[in-house]
Amino acid sequence: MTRALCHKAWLETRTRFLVAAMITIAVCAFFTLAHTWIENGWERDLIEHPEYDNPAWFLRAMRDYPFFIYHYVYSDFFQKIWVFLAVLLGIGGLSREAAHGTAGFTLSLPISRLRLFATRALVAVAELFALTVIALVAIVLGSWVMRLPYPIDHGLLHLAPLFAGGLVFLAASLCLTEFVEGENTPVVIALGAVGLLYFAMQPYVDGAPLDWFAVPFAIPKLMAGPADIRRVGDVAWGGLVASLAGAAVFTAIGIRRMQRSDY
Amino acid sequence: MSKDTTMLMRKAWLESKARFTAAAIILTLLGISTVLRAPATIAGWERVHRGEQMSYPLYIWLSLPHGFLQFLWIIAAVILGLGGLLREDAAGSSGFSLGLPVSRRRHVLARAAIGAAEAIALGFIPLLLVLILSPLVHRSYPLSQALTFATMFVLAGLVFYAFSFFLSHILQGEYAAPTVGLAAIAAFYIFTKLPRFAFLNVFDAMDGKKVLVGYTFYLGSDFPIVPIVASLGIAAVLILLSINRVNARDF
Amino acid sequence: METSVKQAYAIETEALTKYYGDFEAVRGLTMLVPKGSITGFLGQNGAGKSSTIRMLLGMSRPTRGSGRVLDFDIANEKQSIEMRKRVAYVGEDKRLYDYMTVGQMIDFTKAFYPGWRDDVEKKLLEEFRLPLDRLTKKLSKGMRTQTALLLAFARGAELLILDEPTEGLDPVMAEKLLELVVGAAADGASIFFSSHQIAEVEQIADRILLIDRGQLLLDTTLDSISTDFRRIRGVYDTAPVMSALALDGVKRVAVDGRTVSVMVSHNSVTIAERMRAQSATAVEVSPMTLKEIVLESLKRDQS
Repeated sequence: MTRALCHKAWLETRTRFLVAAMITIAVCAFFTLAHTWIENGWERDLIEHPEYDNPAWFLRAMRDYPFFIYHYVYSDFFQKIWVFLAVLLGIGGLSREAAHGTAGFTLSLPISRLRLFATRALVAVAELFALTVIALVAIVLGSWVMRLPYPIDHGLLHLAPLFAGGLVFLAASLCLTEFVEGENTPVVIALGAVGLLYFAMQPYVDGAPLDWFAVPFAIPKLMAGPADIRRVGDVAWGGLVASLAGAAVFTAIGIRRMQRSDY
Repeated sequence: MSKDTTMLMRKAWLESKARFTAAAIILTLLGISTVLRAPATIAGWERVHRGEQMSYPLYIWLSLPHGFLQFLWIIAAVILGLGGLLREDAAGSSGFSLGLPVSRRRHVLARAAIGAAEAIALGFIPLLLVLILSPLVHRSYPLSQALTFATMFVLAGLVFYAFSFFLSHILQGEYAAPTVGLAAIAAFYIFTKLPRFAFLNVFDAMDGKKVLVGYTFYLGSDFPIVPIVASLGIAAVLILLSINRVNARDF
Repeated sequence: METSVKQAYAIETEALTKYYGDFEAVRGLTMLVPKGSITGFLGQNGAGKSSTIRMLLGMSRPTRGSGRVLDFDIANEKQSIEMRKRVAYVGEDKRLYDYMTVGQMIDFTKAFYPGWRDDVEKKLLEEFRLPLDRLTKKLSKGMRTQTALLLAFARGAELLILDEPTEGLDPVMAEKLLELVVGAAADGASIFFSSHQIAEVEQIADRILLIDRGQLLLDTTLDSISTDFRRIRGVYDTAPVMSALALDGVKRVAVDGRTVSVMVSHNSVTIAERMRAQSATAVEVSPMTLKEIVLESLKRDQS
């Protein structure tokens, strides 16, 4: 029965997952395969345009390949895409089924609503984990093809918080779709809220000290982690645990809502 | 305008108003927080970049047209482009729509018009809020600048709306269109960073990067006409392709 | 003469065919639906009824063949739009716009039909007790069906195409709908409706079209069913010569041991005499109900 439910959840999300996988491969591979070309462009810019006001990370990214990957993948561009993908994987659920007229069929099955939610969440988490592995493989393989030294543990130690942070957004998305009806409105709200979060946290990501009220929202900073991460102890485990707790809270709220809703 | 055209547009509005309202709220929050955070953000920046000053127009430009407004508006435009006869077919109501004495072209055009109007309205919200709220932080922002930035922004950016609109006529899955649309736009963003393809950079046309006056970060008399016309032209082609696609399809 | 014959038909198709990939959903369908008639369009699930209706309304394009509805060419977009001004369609799903209320659906639909019948709208709103300010997605299936039917009947259409109209309705409402259909026909509308409810079809239809696997099996009137269709049963001492029964009017022959059962659409007297001439004993001629005719026609093992 659980296998059948998981299979159902997979069928519902597989197109999104496959597109997400292709995006992950494309973006991660791009930054590895195009690194030399980007670096050459930057060197040209330094010579031809000395007036350009280069950001603080720029010079280091030019000479330090793992830092280049850190900036573009874990801290900036790919992180935002990652969060979007996590949100999109979480959209769906019984509210959506109700809109499509299949909720009656699903709810008439001899299974609890909790189980329905749990299997959907489980499949989404597995997909997010798969994307994490895909990202690591893309970066490592791309680096190897370009003969650029990239330590795997650097990737592992950065992708772990990325995965944990992604879980929070995934859980928030799973929760949101239990509250908001409609096909597209949950997507607008979810992605819009993510955008506002990044907007609000941008100064802290850029280096400003974290205000006390911003701590619960410091997920982007947490997902990026410190640039120089070499050991397991360098990972902000406290923050990771807090992320997982946040994901658990969203999940609990979503379950409660689903169990109390009329369909 | 004939009564049936009015009704088609009303239908399109009713179909999309929840999304539009959600996006409008988010962009309103963006506009308000941009203004209210200005003093702290500018002060923080100046502390880090000792000896340099950040002007208010620069801050607004970095936060909105060149910053998160571009990011959030493009997401909103993509979501507004979703829907249409393919989704109605999946939902089971396409029979009703197609049973009306109206060409498929009119169905598509009515929805395109309403969605574009909504996208345009959304683009103006944050910049008009900057105009209205700047006195709260003892700053001012010229009306002409707010209107010009907003106009340039939405006209150049309508191509993203049209792209999503087109995708919603070729991809039937519920989340296929937004996923593919947002992914493609992200890929396009990277692509246009390549010098060889910089001429395709719609994002620069949206924020007026190439026509800002010196260090004022205001717009001058130059207007990026060519990229905007190109963007609108491509948007028009995408809408026409959507019409063709719907006309050719069996329901 | 030819012009007046053409205009006598609400629906005409000639070898209408539709393929979905390799699957032939409609096979060379040739049918005529006279104006002013109430025609029941019968067939099993997947027989091709909805595919045919979608082609008639211009929602899908025929692979081959042609069709005219109210003398408008179904393959011509402009003519199809003109045709739809005069046609009301209620689909099998009866799905409406989830984001509109009942009142908004009425206002929306009204805008497309200058001949909108406010009297019919008002009457049906009262009869069905539909809540104007409720979203259609919040309606029960029956109420959604009622809303869809109101939107169809109030259009003042010349032709009503109804796909499973009574599905989801309680018996009282189903009876009301049948009365509405008869009333619309009395007002001059042509009715073309598909249904699985043979009793309902018998109650109101004057013509029957039966389709199976995309092909037309039966095209007859209810009168003809009662006056001409017969089942002739005979018991044979020796094996009958089947070719001798290949007579005009024979629709199906079933052999069960020494008993031969023949379904005929006309010419029953001649066929019965032939059977007696072949030494059949106890030749029995009995009338057939529509249900028996339909079930017999749909049997695939013999013909």
